[in-house]
Amino acid sequence: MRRTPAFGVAAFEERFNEFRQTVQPHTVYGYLSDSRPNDPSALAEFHLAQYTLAPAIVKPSSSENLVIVNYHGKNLDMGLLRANRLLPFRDFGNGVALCRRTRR
Amino acid sequence: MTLLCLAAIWLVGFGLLRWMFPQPLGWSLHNVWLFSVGIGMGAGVASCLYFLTLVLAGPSSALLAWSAGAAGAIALALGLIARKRGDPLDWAEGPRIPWYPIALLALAIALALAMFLGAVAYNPHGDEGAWSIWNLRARFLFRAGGFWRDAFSSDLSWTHPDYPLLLPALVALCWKLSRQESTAAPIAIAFLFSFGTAGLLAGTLGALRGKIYALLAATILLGTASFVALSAALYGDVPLSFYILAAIAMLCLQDRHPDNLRFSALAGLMAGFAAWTRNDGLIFVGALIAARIIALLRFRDRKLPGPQLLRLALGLAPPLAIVVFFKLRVAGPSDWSSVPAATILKNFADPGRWIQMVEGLIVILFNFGRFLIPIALTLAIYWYLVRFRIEAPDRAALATAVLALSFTLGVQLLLDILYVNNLPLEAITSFERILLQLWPAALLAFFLASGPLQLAAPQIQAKASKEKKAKKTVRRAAEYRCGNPDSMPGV
Repeated sequence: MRRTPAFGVAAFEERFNEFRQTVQPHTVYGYLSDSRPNDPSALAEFHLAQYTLAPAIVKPSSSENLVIVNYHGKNLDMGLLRANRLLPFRDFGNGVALCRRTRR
Repeated sequence: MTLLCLAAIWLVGFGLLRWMFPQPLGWSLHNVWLFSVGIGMGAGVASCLYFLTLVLAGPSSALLAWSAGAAGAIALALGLIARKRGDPLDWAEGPRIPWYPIALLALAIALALAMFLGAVAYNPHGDEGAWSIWNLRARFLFRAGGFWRDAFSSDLSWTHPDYPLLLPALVALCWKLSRQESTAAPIAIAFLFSFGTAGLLAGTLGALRGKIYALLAATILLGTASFVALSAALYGDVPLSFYILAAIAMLCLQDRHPDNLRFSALAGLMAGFAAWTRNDGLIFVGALIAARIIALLRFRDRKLPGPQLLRLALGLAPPLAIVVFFKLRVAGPSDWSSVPAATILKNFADPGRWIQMVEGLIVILFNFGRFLIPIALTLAIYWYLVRFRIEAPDRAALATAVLALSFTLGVQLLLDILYVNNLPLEAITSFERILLQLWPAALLAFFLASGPLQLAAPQIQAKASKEKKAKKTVRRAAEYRCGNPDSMPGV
């Protein structure tokens, strides 16, 4: 992943560009990725998401009300969302979606 | 616009320094030295000013612009109205310089420049450690408006919210004043600090020992590939190395100019800015004070020069007060506060960790700087050939430098042993960085202690050889005239 064009600050800023314009200061988002747990680039991707979305705070947790989902497939993995009790709120494309946490 | 802001900050530093050490404007070692120190002075003052404005009056751009403009005008006015006072820093007497050390330095500058520009063109946001810590914090300060304290939230504990703010505040100030967020700011700051460090090292050694030592030290520093790479990675280590060098350089100059106590005040200020750059700088402050007291007691007949130490403390106080305020009122929790005492004791008592650290240091000793021939070996050969000869006025300064650097390194390594979980990984990723923070000051100490270096100028050699040849020809012609045809060349 680190060697692919989708990695790096410039690539992330482009991917997150549409979402970035909606971000307000003092907002806290959760973060979820479909990367494998042992993927060495998963942590760097989380750091990139935080760097791109500053001044919002991004937490590596799916228990926030609003959760950013960083996915690498063509479509959102609904199984992953269900497992984390998330509902899609808005898909920004380019592998970036915003989800809401369900009450249950 | 960003670069103009940075140039203005640099000029503010130069103005303040010219007020402290006024000499006529023009091309001189004194002014080159002032310009080199001016980078760190301007950066430190501007960064502190920005932080204070942010804390006291909030993120208002107008107020910030007013306060920055007023501070700049005052600094420049002070620099311009200052009248010549004291002796200028001038080249120390030394041997005639052949062409090749100058050519080597020019080559080192060109290679360092190419390497720096290549690295930042490929990676304009710097390495991960830079953008995920320093530039992320600058983004918070610039983008978050009234919520700038979110940068130090406990939710961002992985970004080390207790790290001091010299670099992020300076970058954010440039963005605020130019009203645009550009990678040019951190890149230009890194560039100025790395080449300013070389300028400061060369200027100080030039004044203390002479041109040849200045050329050699600057060539080695800019030839240290990992120093240039670290600078282009946009980490805080190279600015820290600048302030460590500056503080020690000022104390060396203080001992040569005992009547001008402004050197001590500037040494304190630079040490304070080191603490405002990285937490390692705080260790250096403690090490410097302890080293200075020990050195003065040892080499000044057990009498402490009160006025010198007072000036050192006065220079140190303002930036250190800002650091203390930041740590107490703004910064997030320290990484170290989460390590239980039992773990620290267990780590301390584990001989394996000490062995791992020694192994790591031995490996670094041979890899350091990415030189083709290990620099430790090169400097050892230099020492074998030239030896050390320390002049009496330099003994206290040199002892201060050696002790301060040793204490700093020792404490940093001890903290690694006590607190770091994965020591072998730390050895690979951080040991060289720690050594690079101290490298410019170590070069200053090494060449300050160096014995006299005599490089025969090729022109002189050629002239001497031509004269010898001419004498030989005359002698042989005379012998030929005296009836010895075998002595004539070509016969």
